Amino acid sequence: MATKQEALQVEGLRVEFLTDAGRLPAVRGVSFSLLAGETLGLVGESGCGKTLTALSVLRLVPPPGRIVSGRISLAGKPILPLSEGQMRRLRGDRVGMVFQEPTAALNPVLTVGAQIAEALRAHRACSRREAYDRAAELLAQVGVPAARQRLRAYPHELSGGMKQRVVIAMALACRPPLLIADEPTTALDVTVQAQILRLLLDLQRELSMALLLVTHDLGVVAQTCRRVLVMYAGRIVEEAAVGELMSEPLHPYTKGLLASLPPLDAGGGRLVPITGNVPELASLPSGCAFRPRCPEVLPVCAKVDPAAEETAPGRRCACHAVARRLLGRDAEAHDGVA
Amino acid sequence: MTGGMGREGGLFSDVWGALRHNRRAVFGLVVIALIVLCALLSPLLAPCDPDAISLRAAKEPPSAAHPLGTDLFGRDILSRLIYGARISLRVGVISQGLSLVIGIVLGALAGYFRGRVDDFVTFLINVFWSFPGLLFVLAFAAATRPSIEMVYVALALISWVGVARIVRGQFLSLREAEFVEAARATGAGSGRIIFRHILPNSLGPVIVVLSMGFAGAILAEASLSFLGLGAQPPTPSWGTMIDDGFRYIATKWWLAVFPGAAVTLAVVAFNLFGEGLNDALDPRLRANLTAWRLSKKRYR
Amino acid sequence: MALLEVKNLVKGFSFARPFPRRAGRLTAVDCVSFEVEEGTTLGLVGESGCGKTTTGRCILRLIEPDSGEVRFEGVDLSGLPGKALGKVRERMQVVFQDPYGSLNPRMSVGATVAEPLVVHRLASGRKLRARVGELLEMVGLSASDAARYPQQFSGGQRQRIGIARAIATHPRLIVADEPVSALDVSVRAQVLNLFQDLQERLGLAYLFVAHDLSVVRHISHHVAVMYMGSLVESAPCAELFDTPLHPYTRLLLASVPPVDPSADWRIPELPGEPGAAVSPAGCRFAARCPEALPDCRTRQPRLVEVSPGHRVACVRREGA
Repeated sequence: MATKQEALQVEGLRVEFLTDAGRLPAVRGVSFSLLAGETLGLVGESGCGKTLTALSVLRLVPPPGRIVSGRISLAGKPILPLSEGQMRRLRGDRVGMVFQEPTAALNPVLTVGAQIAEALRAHRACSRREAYDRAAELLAQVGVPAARQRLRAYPHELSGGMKQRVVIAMALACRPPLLIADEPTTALDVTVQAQILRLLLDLQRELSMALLLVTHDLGVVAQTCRRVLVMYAGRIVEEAAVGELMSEPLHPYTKGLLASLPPLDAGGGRLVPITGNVPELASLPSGCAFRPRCPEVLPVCAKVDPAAEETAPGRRCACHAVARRLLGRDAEAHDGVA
Repeated sequence: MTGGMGREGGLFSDVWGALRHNRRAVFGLVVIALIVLCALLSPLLAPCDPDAISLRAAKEPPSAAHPLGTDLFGRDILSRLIYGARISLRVGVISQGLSLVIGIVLGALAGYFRGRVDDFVTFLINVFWSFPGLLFVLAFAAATRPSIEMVYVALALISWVGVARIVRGQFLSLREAEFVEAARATGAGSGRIIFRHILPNSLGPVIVVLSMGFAGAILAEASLSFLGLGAQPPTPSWGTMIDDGFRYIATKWWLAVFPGAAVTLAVVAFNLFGEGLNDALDPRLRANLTAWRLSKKRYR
Repeated sequence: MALLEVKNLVKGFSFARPFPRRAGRLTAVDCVSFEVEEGTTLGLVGESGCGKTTTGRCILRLIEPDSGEVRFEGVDLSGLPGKALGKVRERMQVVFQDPYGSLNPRMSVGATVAEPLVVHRLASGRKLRARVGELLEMVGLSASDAARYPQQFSGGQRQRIGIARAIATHPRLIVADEPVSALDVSVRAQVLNLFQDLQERLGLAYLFVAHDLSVVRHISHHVAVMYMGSLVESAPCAELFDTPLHPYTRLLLASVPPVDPSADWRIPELPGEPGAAVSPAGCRFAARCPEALPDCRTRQPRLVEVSPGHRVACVRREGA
């Protein structure tokens, strides 16, 4: 039951791709909730389904992808039954989105001011003059110097970091209570990334906004999020508070990911990679999708796909080995989810 | 151990995979195959000798003996149509073949070496492009003696431009591709880069242009022969057959209608096939066929 | 004598834009000097626009530098005629960033890996096939993969194919241009380990161009930092990361969010943007430098050796 305290609640989300190879499951039963004002990190590598999950919240899944089942609620209000028109009224107003490539998100033939104003006027009744004034305010708020003049700039005249600030301004124009950021800093330089992260955190504090941050960068997650979800092959394999996840990861995939990162404070040595490759959607292994690469694999892992179990308050993990170790669960007798 | 998207390599299997779902393209391909069969196996398929004159049986409507009727000189129209396929195909193959060679050479030189070479080739392209196609061929015919060989050359001269532009464009973009840089870093010379790296990756769109060009060539040959400027009698070209028969169109319709239908069918077939190829070569093919097909159906 | 010596390398690009009308000259690489010793890795680090990729391409002679010396195995590459340059290419190879663009989609994997050997006429027929199989196994693939096409492999595997191609002719130096940036995190570790293994087995030297500092730290013996075309600091790896001297290096290191959430991460203050208007006479970083002196805008700092192997180009350090 979604409550108003929860800015976002996702239950059992399933997204599929219709292809000549059949129906490929890209998101396989994802459930989580995000409290108002909280920052939640959604971490995973390419192909794990994190971007699709984010797009599903806005109902912007592109064909041949399709939301097959599940429930998504924004501030307690289910959005999957809504019509496209109703959904459009929510986008930008109740939930904003920042994408990875700022260049792709901006229309090259419109000035930056025009695009922010457009975002405003889609949801608020205001005149062009008012919209432009507000756009200038927003630009200043996101740290663009000489904001008033910059309204007349075209996207190609701005650097990557500036463009991303503009995109953020557009996303926040109507002060939505929820912001979804999909790899917002991946395409930016390291120094610019730090500045944009600072901007996002400042804005989140000022606007008391909930933030769903999708990324593959564990460093970004560690410094910005309070809680983290780890996704692999369309499922959430672990959920924890960020400190616990980094210091005591439970799922073998999380452990493998952390172990394979080259540390910044020491050089040389040998990294411990995760053997193998991410599986193709068309040929997911039976049982647990991580099984072929898992150092802690058990016989049951080939038969039963582990469900996410709560191992401690606020901690979930979808792994038979972990369930056995921490919950004394005998996986053979367990009615797992196939 | 593969983790990537499995598709057995090579241009053909990719293209065939996309093509076979496109009904119109398959139809086109089937018709083309039929025409080719007629051309190759004419002596076997034609019921009669295309040149056998019989004034007694002249201008007869379709019957059991002559399924498409006979022409002014009593020759079996069906047999003449089948043999006529040879002419049409030959025009297509030779003119497009010539245009392919000229177009690739000039387009590649222009796109790869750029600079003055490119300026010159672009100038040539602009000059030839601005000639109204058929009029140029007519002028060419007027200047030389009318013959089928002249038709080949004239058609090649206007078709090469389409090929050259595409090849030039492909070369301009591919010469900066990372795998080309990699080849250069390996020490490969220009020759190897052009023939082994860039050209194989450029051919896709060229085939499309050729297919359309084929259609154009067949139509042009028919038009020229109709005007008496192409194939000369007694050669059974579809165009000459239409020329012979069109003045009887009201009374002895079969004389002109069947050859006309043959031309139309051939042109449509090559166009459909070419369009199908174009769609099949769409870069989105790389990602996912169904996604691409679904996107095509958006406006159903 | 170092395997690779670069002295005062300069490369500029002219550009002209018709609309709005603007033309000028952009110095992508401005007087850059460094060395790479045999069997070691030099990490070349910087953000976009710093000129590291252009530097790599100049060294490989994929583009012609405007001036400066590039000495490989003692021989100056600038004057070299075609044939001699070809010989050099056998001993200096490259691995590119994009695993999807750096392999010809119409060439089988075997043909791609064999190409350097074919071009330099080092092997043919059965010997060629055997060598290709050997190379593929060395990078963790199997000899039977030679018949397949790049599209059938994942990003990490394609990078391995690129590496197999690069080591085919027994090079002494490999210029690796962001070789793991486009790969997933879990695959990155596999490929980095491969780089290290090959360095140990084959005695390879790497010029490792990257923007990810933790990757650079992991794999380099020496590190050089570039900013807007200039080399601002170079030092042995541990020293650069533990005691960075140049304000830009410090800014870079401070901007990386640490994976430890309990670490006290202060996001550095940073006025302006890279590429902001720079006065031609002074230090390029002066406009954004938190420690800028008035002198910094009027004088170009020289690269001085502050301690053995540790060089900095900063007005504040010139006195040392």
